[in-house]
Amino acid sequence: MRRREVLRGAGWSAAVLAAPAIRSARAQAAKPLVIGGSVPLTGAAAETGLNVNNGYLTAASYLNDVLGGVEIAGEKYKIELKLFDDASDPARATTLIQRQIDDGTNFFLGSFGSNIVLPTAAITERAKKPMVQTGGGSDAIFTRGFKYVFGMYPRATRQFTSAAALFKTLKPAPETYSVIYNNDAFSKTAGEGVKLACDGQGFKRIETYELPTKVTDVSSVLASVRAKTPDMLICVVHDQDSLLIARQMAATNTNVKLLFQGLGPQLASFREALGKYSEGLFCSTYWDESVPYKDKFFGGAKKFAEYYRSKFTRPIAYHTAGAAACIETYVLAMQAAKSTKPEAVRDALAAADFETFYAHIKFTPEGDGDALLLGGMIGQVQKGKLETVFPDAARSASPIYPLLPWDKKA
Amino acid sequence: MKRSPLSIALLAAICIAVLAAGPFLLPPFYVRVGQLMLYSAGLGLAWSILGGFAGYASFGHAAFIGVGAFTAGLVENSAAGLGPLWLLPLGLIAGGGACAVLSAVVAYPILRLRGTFFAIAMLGVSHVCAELTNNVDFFQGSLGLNFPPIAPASADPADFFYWLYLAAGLVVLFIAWWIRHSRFGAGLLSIREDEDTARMLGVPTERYKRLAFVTSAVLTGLLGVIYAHSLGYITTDSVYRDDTNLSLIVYSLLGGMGTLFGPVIGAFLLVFVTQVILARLLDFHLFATGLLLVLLVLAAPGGVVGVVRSLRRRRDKLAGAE
Repeated sequence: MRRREVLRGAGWSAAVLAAPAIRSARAQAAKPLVIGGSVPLTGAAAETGLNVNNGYLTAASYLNDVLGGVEIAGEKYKIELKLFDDASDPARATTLIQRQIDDGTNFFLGSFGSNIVLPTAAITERAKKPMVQTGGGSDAIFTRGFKYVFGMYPRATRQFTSAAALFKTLKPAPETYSVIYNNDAFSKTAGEGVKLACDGQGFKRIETYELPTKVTDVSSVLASVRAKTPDMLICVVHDQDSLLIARQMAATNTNVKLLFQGLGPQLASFREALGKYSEGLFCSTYWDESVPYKDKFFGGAKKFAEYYRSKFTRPIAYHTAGAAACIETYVLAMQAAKSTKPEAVRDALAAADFETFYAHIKFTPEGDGDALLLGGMIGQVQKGKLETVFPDAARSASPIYPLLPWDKKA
Repeated sequence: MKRSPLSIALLAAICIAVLAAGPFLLPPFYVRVGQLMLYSAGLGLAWSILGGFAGYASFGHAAFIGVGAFTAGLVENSAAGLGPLWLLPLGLIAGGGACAVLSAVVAYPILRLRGTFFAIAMLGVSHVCAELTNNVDFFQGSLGLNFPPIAPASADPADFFYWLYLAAGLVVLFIAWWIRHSRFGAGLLSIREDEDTARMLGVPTERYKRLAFVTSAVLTGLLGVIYAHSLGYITTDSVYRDDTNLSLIVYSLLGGMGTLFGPVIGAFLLVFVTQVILARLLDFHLFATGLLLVLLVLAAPGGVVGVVRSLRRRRDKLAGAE
């Protein structure tokens, strides 16, 4: 008994004494791969900023703790994130990024909001350090000739390209459309994108409706829709406004062959609130844990979502997945380049053509996401469930078109 | 002891030379911090012409940053054919002009209010301008506005804007100094001390207040134009910021309300604390900044200038006793 206690004590002592050596050996085995950036954890953009930050943390934690690091050109690396709160202030973000460049950080992740991303991207561009970001979609970021800035979405005016491509494949072919958007940055940009994409596909625009930021009644808009009925009514408004529009359309039996609602039908609560009336509604789904993409790190979207939930209680959002994919994209680009030199990684990012749990990653020559591959998927409510109907690679069901009239759905 | 004008001029020249040499001596991060310090000091001084000298503390000066920036952006984009050398002057004239018109119009009703009522009304003006910029398509506030590059190709934009802010800051400082030492400035101080008595004694209070308001607004707008250029792309959220509204008051509180150099010292101090010392604290930098401000204001209600003055008075008193 005594001997056993002595042995146990000796064992613990040896373990305690050896621990620093083991840690040191581990530290030597994995080099740090520093990725910097700023995120809006406070201020106006904090709500989405927290989602973005959680995505960055999830990816780094998974690659380091679960996989034990990543191998690049035969060497093991651990991701070391240096993220700071820019308080949704572009001026503060620029000083934070400049400080990291001065400190020798070579790779950057983006903040959230084009008004912050663009000034910081101008700094990283000048320093010839890559930035992969998921928070800035404004065309201004991708039309300045930047070579080191990459976005996980298409530029704002191309974000409807995939939906318009789907509409073109429908039979009998729709010919006309009207668009409704709110008067705010998100909605208005999306509205401009709808017009560009649909006009580009040859659809004839009947009417453009601009709703105020807060809407309580759309009956006058719907009266106009009934008077000049388009084949497709495209609503790029916030989810509560989508619900109002759908309810009032059902109440007034305002029928169109296709109703697209950018935000709303993705949410189970929205589908429950509309009941059978939600059947057939189209919407954008940037990322969902049911997407079929596979990768060599997380395995797939579901596994990523499970790991995320084991770390955070905040509900998962597509910005979270996009942010995590930024880090995965960096690692894949470094592995392809067999280097961690910024210029080589930049070239590998420009040539990126690989699958992650988030999407198939491919950038345009200007750095924004490929309009079809990263332009979001299109979902449709079918038998109460949201099915992916576009692109073909992610399709879980064929699109149903034209829609049944509202009175037939009841 | 009163210093001679020559020694003051010499001291000022040395200070300007040291500040101008910043980009040659400092690493890029500190050049950017310097930009922010000079921009904030300029804004603090412009605010102080109305809030510090006349005692009309505005809680909505971000309105003029926004109006100046968006007007300049719209005018410069419509004159895109012009060379970069002409774009900034054009933007400054347009932005400053728009702020002059807005402030002159707003001055009539709003300067009838005093104290908290005036501060809150200015906050309203700021929010109304922000909403209009966001919701009226013409202003492009929600979509964002691009600014053409104006920095010469040979210069680092960070250095270029540092010098631009320095030049603008010196212009604002000179105007504030001139006002402070003029009859107009004395009138503003009398308004701050007791407006009714000042009017009774023949000070044209309404005219002086309006003039101070317009001057303050135009200078703020000019700084807003430079700020927008330094960012390159702005949305409503970039320039109509409530934290800016608050910071302008804090600069004077920290440095010394109503003094010439108080807002400059306050701006330098606050920017240094928030951008350099506390910037690395991810989760509680705002809490730390708030705590520090409360402690500083409690310990030195007259600001840094107030502390220096009381120390000087104590020293003179001791010297007199000896």
